[in-house]
Formats: sequence, C-alpha cells, structure tokens
Amino acid sequence: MENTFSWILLLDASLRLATPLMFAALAGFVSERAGVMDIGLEGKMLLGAFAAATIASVTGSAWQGVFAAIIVTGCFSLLHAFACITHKGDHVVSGLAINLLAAAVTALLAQRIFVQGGMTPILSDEQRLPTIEFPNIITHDDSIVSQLYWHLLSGHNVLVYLAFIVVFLAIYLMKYSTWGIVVLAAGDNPTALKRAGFSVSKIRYMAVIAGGCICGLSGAFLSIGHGAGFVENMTVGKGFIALAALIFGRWHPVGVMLSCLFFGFLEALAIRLQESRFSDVDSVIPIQLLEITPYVLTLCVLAGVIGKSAAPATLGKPMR
Amino acid sequence: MHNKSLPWLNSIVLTLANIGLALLASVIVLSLTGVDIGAAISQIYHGAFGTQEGRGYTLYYATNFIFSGLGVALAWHAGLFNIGGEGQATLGGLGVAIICIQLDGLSLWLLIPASMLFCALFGAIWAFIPAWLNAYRSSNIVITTIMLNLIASSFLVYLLAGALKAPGQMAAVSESLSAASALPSMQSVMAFLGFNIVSTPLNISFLWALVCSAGLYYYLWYTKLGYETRVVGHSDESAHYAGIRSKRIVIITMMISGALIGFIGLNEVQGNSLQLNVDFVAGFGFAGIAVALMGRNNPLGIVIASILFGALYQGGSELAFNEESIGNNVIFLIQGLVVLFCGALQWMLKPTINYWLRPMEVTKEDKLPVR
Amino acid sequence: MLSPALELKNVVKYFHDIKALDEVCLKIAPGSIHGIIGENGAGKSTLLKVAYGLINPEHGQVFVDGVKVNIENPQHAIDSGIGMLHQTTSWLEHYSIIDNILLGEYNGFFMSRKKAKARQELAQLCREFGFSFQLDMSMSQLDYSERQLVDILRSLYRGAKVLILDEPMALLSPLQSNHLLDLLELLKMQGISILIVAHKLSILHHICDVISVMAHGKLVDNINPKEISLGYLSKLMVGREITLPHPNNVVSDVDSSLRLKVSNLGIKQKSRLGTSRQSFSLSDIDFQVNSHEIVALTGLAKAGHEDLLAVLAGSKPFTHGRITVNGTRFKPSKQYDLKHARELGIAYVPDPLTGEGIVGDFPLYETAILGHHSTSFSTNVLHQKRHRQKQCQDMMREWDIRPNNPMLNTGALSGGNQQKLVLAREVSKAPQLLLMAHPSNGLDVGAIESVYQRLFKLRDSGASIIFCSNDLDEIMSLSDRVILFERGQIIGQYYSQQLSKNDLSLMLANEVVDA
Repeated sequence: MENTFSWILLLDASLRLATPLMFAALAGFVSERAGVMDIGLEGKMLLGAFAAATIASVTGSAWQGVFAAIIVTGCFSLLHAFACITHKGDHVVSGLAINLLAAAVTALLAQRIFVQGGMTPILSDEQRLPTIEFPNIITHDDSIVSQLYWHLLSGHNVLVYLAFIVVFLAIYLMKYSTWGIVVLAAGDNPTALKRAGFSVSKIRYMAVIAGGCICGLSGAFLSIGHGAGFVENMTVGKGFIALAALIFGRWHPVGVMLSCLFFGFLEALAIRLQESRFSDVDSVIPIQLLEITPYVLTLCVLAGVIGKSAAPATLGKPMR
Repeated sequence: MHNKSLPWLNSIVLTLANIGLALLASVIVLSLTGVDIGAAISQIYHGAFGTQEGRGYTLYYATNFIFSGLGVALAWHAGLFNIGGEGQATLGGLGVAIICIQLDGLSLWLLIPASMLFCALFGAIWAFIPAWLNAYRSSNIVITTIMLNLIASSFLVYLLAGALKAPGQMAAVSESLSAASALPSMQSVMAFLGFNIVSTPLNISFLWALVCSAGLYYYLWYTKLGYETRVVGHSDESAHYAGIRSKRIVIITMMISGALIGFIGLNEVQGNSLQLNVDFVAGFGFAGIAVALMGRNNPLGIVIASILFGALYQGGSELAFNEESIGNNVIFLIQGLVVLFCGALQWMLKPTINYWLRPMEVTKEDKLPVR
Repeated sequence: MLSPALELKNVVKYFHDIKALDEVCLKIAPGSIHGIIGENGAGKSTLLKVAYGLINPEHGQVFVDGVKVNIENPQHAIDSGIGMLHQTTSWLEHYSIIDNILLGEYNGFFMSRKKAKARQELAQLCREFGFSFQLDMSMSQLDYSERQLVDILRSLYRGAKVLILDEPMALLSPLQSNHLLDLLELLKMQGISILIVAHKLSILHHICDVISVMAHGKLVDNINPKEISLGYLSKLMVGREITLPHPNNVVSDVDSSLRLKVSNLGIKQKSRLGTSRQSFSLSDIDFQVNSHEIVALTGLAKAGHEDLLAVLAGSKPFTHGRITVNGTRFKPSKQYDLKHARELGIAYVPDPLTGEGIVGDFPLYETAILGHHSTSFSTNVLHQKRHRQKQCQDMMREWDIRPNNPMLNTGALSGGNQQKLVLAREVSKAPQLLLMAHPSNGLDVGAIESVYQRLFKLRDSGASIIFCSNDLDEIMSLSDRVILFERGQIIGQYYSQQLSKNDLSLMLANEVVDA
C-alpha cells in the first residue's frame, strides 16, 4: 500500500512538472505548424514568469499576473514575427536573441524593482493562482480509487487543468476548424493557401502571437502557480525540454501532450532519486541519465531511429 | 545569413548601422532599468582599458570570444548554424583537464601540444555528432546542437560528481592541475622579451587565437576545402553542380568548428583556473553567435568584435562589483540586442540605406521604373 | 452589346529591366472560349497571373462585366468571380477534397454546419458537370487530372464566371485532354467564359472562339480561328523567321567519330502521388552523337529532354540502360557523376534559371573556377589570388562580359552576363562534349550571335555539342540535328536544314507533317 501511494505521489509530481512543458510545447506547436521556428520558448517562459510574479506581487491579484504574462510574451513573439516574417530574418537567430534578452531583461528589472538580488518577494497565497479541489463524491479512504481521485486528480493548480483543456482545444481546432487547417497549411503548403486567397504572412503572424500568449501561461505557472515568486533564470532549460517534447511528439498535440507527461515523469523521478540519495543507499541510475533522456530521445527522433521526424514542410524557411 | 548582392559600401554602412542600432537600443533599455548610462559607460571603459590589469583581463576574455566566434563563423560559411558552442567548449575543457591530469609532470613543451590536440579532438568529436546527423540523416543541426549542449552539461556534472571529483571537496570541481602544467602567462612571455607587465589570466592562448584567426582566413579564401565550404554554404545546387561532396564538407567543417570552440577550454582550464568546475563555459559558447554576427563572419571582424565584447565583459564585471544590481546581465542584454539587430533584423535597414546611398553611386538600378 | 466578361486594359509589367507586358489590352466576350498563343517568354503566363492577382502590374486596369475591379491578390480575384486552374496544382495532401475546397471559406471555429450545406452544393455541381470523385476522398489519392478537376470545381463553387487555365493539357494524356475539352465546352454552355493558354495549337484552333497572339510582351493580333487554317495560325505565332545564318555542318567531309552513345536509357520514378503506379520520367532513349555536331533536344513542358541533358551531365542518376562516352561505358550506378563526367571532357552549362552554375555571393573570379576549382589552389598565397583574378579578367575581356571587373559580386551582374560567364568558363576548357540547357536564356541578340560563332568554332574543332531548348529560333539557328521528345521518349530525329521553323512548331504541337 505504501508503495502504491508513493507511485501516486510520483505521478502527481509528474503532472505538476509536465504542466509548464505542456504550455510551452503547445506554444511551439502553434507557431511551428504555421512554419515559424521557435527556439525562443525558454526566454518567453522566463518573461512570462517574471511578468506574472511582478504584477501579482504589485497588484495582489494572481489573475492580473496571468494577464500580464500573456501580454508580455505576446509582445515578444510579435517581435519574433516581425523579424522572421516581415524582415525575413533567420528564425533561429531571432529566437536566440529573445532567449538572451529575456534572461537579461528579467534579471535587471527584477533587481531594479524589488532590489532583492534578482528575485521578486515571496508571494502570499492570495497572490498565487488557486488550486482546485474536486467535489466530495468519493470518500477519503485507503482504496486505490480514492487515492487516485484525491491525490492524483484533485487538488492541482488551476493551470494544470487548463493545460489539458488547451491540449484538447488544440486537437479540436486542428481537426475540426478551418483555423486549424489554415494554420497547418501555412506550414506545410503555403502555396495552396495563397491560391485559396489567404495572406500567408497574416496567418503566420497570428499563429506566432497565439503561441506566444500560450507560452505566457507556462511562465505564469512557474512563478505564481507552482512556485511562489520569480527567481533569476528559474526556467533552467525547461523551454528546451518543451522543444524536445514538441519534436518527440512529432508536432501533433496528442504526441506533444504524451511526451510532456513522460518528460515530466522523468523529472519527477530524478527529484525523487535525488531525495532518496541522502536517506537511502545510492541509487543505481545516475540522475544525470534521467536528465538527458529527453534530449537523447529527441536526437533519436531527429536521426530517424524512432520513426520519422514529421516537421512541417516549410518550417524555418522564409516565405518567398 | 546569405548576403544579398549589395555593393560593398552599402554593406559596410548597413553593418555599422545595425551595430549602432543595437548599442542605441542597449542604452535605451539600460536607462529604462535605471542604470546611470554616463557613469556606467565611463566605468566600463575604465574597467576594461583604464588599467594594465583591466586590459589584460579584456584580452583574456576576448580570447574566448575569438575562439567561439571563429567556430560559429566557419560553420556559417558552410550554411550551418552551430549553436552547440557551449557543449563543444565543455568537452574541450574536459579534454584538457583529462590530459593534463594524466600527463602530469611531462615537460611543458610536450604537454602543450598534447593538451591542444585533445582539446581540439574532444570539441571536434562533439561537433561530429550533429554533423553526421545533418549529413546522413538530414537532422536539423540547430536542434541537435541545442540537445547536445544540454547533454554535455549534464555529462560534465556527472563526471564532476563522480569520476573526476576532487577527493575531499564538497563542491563539484575536479582535482587541480599542477601549477607546472599551466600555460605560460603573457606576463612571463613578455618578461622573456624584456617587458614588464602585471600578472593577469592572459596567457599564450590569446596568441593561439590570433593564429587561428589568420589560419581560418587562409583556410576559407586560399584553399580548395575553404572554397568548397563556401560553395556548400551558398547553395546545395551550385555545390552539386561543382561536383563537391557536400556531406564530407559538412562533417569536416563542423569538426573544425567544434575544435576551434573547444579551445575555450584551453584558455579557461589550462590557462587560468587549473581545474574544471560546473560552469566554466559560462555562456562563451553562445556568445560566439553574437560575435560572429557583429564581425560579419570575417576573422578580422571577429577579432575586433571579440575585443569589444571582452571589454564589455571585463568592464561589466567591474560594474558588477561596484553596483550590485547590474552584473553580467548587461553583457547578455547587449549580446541579445546585437543578435537581434545584426542577425534577425539585419535587412531591416537595407531599403533605407540603399535609398540614402543612391546619389553616391550611379547604377543601372537608378533607371528602373518605380515598382 | 454585352460588356466583356473580363477585360484587361493597358497592363504593363516589368521584371527588373525587362518589359514582360507592354500595354496589353484583352477582352473576353461572355460565354466564349478565348485562347492565347505565343512563344516562350511572350508574357502569356504573366498576363494570366495578373488577372488572378498573383502578380501586381505596374500599370493597368481590370474590368469584370464592365465594372472596374481592383485585383491585388487571389482573394480579390475570387470575389470578382475569377477562378484559375494553375499549371501545377497545389493542395493540402492529407485533407479531403471537400476540406480543400472549403479552405477559402474562412469561417473560423465551427466547420460542420457550413460543410453540410456546401456538400449539397458541391454534389450538385459534380452531378451537373459529371465529376466522378467522392468529396470525402483524400487529396493524396487523386492523380493530376483529377486534381485539375477539383481546381475547376472549387472555382465553380465559389461562383466563378471567368475561368483562367494555364497550360492545362501539358501533363495530360490524350484521353484526359479530351475529357477536359468536353468539360470546357460544357462550361461554356453554362455561360462561363474561359481564358486558356496552351502550346498545343490544334486544340486551341478546335475549341476557341477567339485567339489572341502575343509576342514580346505585346498582344499583336486577335483572330477568329474559324477563318484561318492551323498552318497559318502557327505562322502567326512564330512570327517572322529571325534565324541567324547557320554555317554548314562539315560533318560529312571530316572523319567524324562516335562521341556519345546512349542506349535504352531510362529513369524509373518513385510515384509521387501515393499510388502504386510505376512511371518512367525517361524511357527507351537511344541515340548517338558524333564529333563535329550540334544536336538540339526539344519538346513541350516536361517531355524529358531537360532530364536527359542532366543525366548526360552526371547531375541526375539514371536507372536503366547505358551511356558510352568516348568508348567508356557506364551502367546505372553512382559512379557516373558530374565530377566523373568532367574528367571525361564533358562540360555542362546548366539552365540559367536554376542559378546552379554560379555562386551569387562570390566575386566573379571565384565563380569563374566553379567546378574546375580542384586545380586552382596552390600554396603560393600572394600569387594565386592575383593569378586567378588575371585569368578571369582575360576571359571576361575575350567574351565581352561587362563590367570587366573580376572583384565584383557575381550576383551584381545582369542575367545575360552571368550566363556568358558560365559559357565562357565551360567553353574555355575546350571540352570534347559540351552540354547546355537553354544556352541563350537571358542573352541579348548581339550576344547570342557572338556566342553562336564561338560554339560553331568549337564544333568545327571537333567537339560535340548537345543542348536542350524550347526556343525555336535557337534550335533552328544553332543545331545540326533536332531530337524531339514527348512523355519521356524520343518521337523523332530530324536534320535541321530539312526543316522550317513552322514545321518544328507544328510538330511540337503534335501535328503530323509531311517532311
């Protein structure tokens, strides 16, 4: 029983750790399916985290923080779109610039505003996003169902649930709406789109900005959902793991969701092992091996070892 | 970064305008974050060039920037975006540390070539992986190099927590190399020549960086391989037409690029700290992109840009001592803006500049009808 | 009198400094089929693209049903009731036909309700015009001719009153062509006006009510095909013969040797459309080329002559048959590539439009060694660059490439001068076999004449030259022999001197000539 419970806690932690990845990977999904490569996820996540924590701390309202995160990341993806679409700049260079700028600007501003060594003050519970407790339809007891219900499904931050909603929204839109088809076409076959009478640039702009806004949620979750404040460089590579999840999930929302959950699980496992290292015997698996698993898997996908990489046809190429 | 065919004058003006724009934007952003710009500039300038010690540090940092800038630029000439500098530099440093520990006590005349060789080899091997994947499995080199950066950093942590960990140390650092295996400092070189300068971390890898710059220039513009590299970078079709084996070129180019970036490890580990720690690369690998963009991928331009960045780095860290709030983030900010304006938005000003430079050159385009 | 269904007035379009369309005026009567003919580069496709908003002209107006409309992009054209069938179709492969057709109907979040209504309308149209496909079939299951029909269906669904067709028959089999023609007749009966560009004159002669003739960006004539013969139509199209003087082939009185023999050569293609059909982009190619001879390869679009030239140059692999160059025999393998071909004395001038032969970012003296660079680098740093520059400058002077400055960027030169540089580079190597794709593309008349003189000189010195071209003037002026291609096969070989340009034009248009 103890064992089951600890597995449930592990999965519970996985969900929590997968959430920011899911938002960021979906943000990348929207932008890359439209043909604009986005390696600036890491930076945008950081910006979102900073904006959310700062506004939440100043106004005292977590939702205003979320709103601010969306606006800020939206603006930076507008910059990305401006460079990549309007001026036909290199998508990678632009994404890189955003990562560098985000790291610098957030740290400088955090120091400037709060003078606490690049951190925001610790946020109180009111300044953070609420968790959602499920209705009391199952009694608290030791049965598996109850354990799963109370410890795995219920009691997460509101953004955790939102992440899944966004995934299903993405699946629905991709399959059943013209918007979805149009965005996919912008990445795969812009010529067909142009002939059907669309402005490919306009669609790509919209997709990139939409992606940026979703990425803001990822940052907000880090600083005012899961965490309680902004710390300098708090994303520590999560944006790149999200990028890896996007590739490992083959640019499809279901695949992206599953790989985010898997990568979240690996991270949770690594943390668990690290904790047990001090109490129990040394674990057999080095933590670093768990850390690099997402990256190695992504390399395998890119190398075509695990299936075929299914990148949008015109990804990263400026429209002629 | 394919050049559109601009007349050379326009191209130079465009570069300078982009750099100017990047610096202007930096000033604006910094003053918005509450930095006293005038004071900061004079402090950075004084910190970087004001004292002999400052100048030494400036050139010491510039050495790293030169290596990574050259590596990025070489790859770029073959149309490859090597953003794996962090990983390649990490491996380079690892190679140096391993060989210096293994060959401890060997004469410096033998040790230096050996450590250079291993440094280059480790960097090159790390660059070979994405190169091979790119050539034979057509994997996107940007993504593979990013992944390999992260893998390299975990790998280093793993080694420093285990196999290479210095006994009796709490922190994750390797055991120290013996002082006898250190690269000769510039101070001792100059003393040998009869000049007296203060002691700084500046060492002979700076001279090696200059040699590499000249070598890269020769390689790119005076050898068959360099010629083929540039053809491949321009277009696959032209390379195919010329009978060039692009895959081979991709692999050779990336390996040389990785080796060049790996030399950061030489400068850092054998030149200064004499031990490996977790973050000795400290963003120098990424910085090569900004340096290469600013130096227009030309070795001479890269040396100049590196000295500028070295000065910012040194001056910035002086600033960090005096003003708690600023730190290295100023450097990252300027780097980011340079990458943005000299890279992503590099053609933004082109129509404007072409327009302003029109009366100076009578070209046939003047007679074109307005489109 | 009814106002024209579509009218283009005073359309002017420049491409760089070339006037692609020069004050073109065109009227299409309602419910008529209007054809446009003209040689390659006459501006036919450009005109169609202007009408559909894919190209914005410098000057000119468009009227639909007598009302001036502003067409800046395809959406405007669609809104004005103009539909277009493109030369190459472009669809979203993994979506159904109906989704592809509805793609333009931008209605956002919910698709299903609208889809049901659209399905009815589309099914109605399908019945009316006899389209046999199911609307839910995936696009990837359709072949080229069916994709064309979907293109037409979309235009009809969007209420097109004018249908523009750009070379619709180029890739169709005769049977498919006939189906398409029947459909066009049917559309005409329904009151839809049709504007069509095609190379096959006989077809246009048969179905059109009016045919406009274009030449050099101008619309030169409107004719009623019922009143003239096909032969006369072809004469109108090719205009006056501007063939340059052709020095006689001396092949008969010199002992000419066999230079190149191609037997049973073919390229098997992987099927692109997801079907299991196997196809050959080239098959059963058999011919020989001797020394002292210039041979032209020609055919309509995608007939295979361009592919064959690339195969001979080693730029494209072949899968069947063999190639014998100067006695060395090659089977299909990776062994025969560009590098190998060069070592055998083959020089290759690729199609200037692909830009393969040059590197736009390189200074001229570096482009001037492309492909021959293996021997150009020495260890002598100071000398080698200057030496290469000098060589390049001499070559440029000899071939009159201007401006005569080897330091200039290759991309800064005009297209004609770039092409001259490539020709100069390849011819100056004194090849035994020179291969050229569309050699005089971009060259002006004066340059063409001097280039031809050099090529004749090369031939007379014993070299063989093979070129592919779609330009009748070029073929008639330059070649000793013409080989005609259709659907990847050779359909005839003729001595150029026994042909007139008009004969050739008719042969290309699939007419039998008593030669």
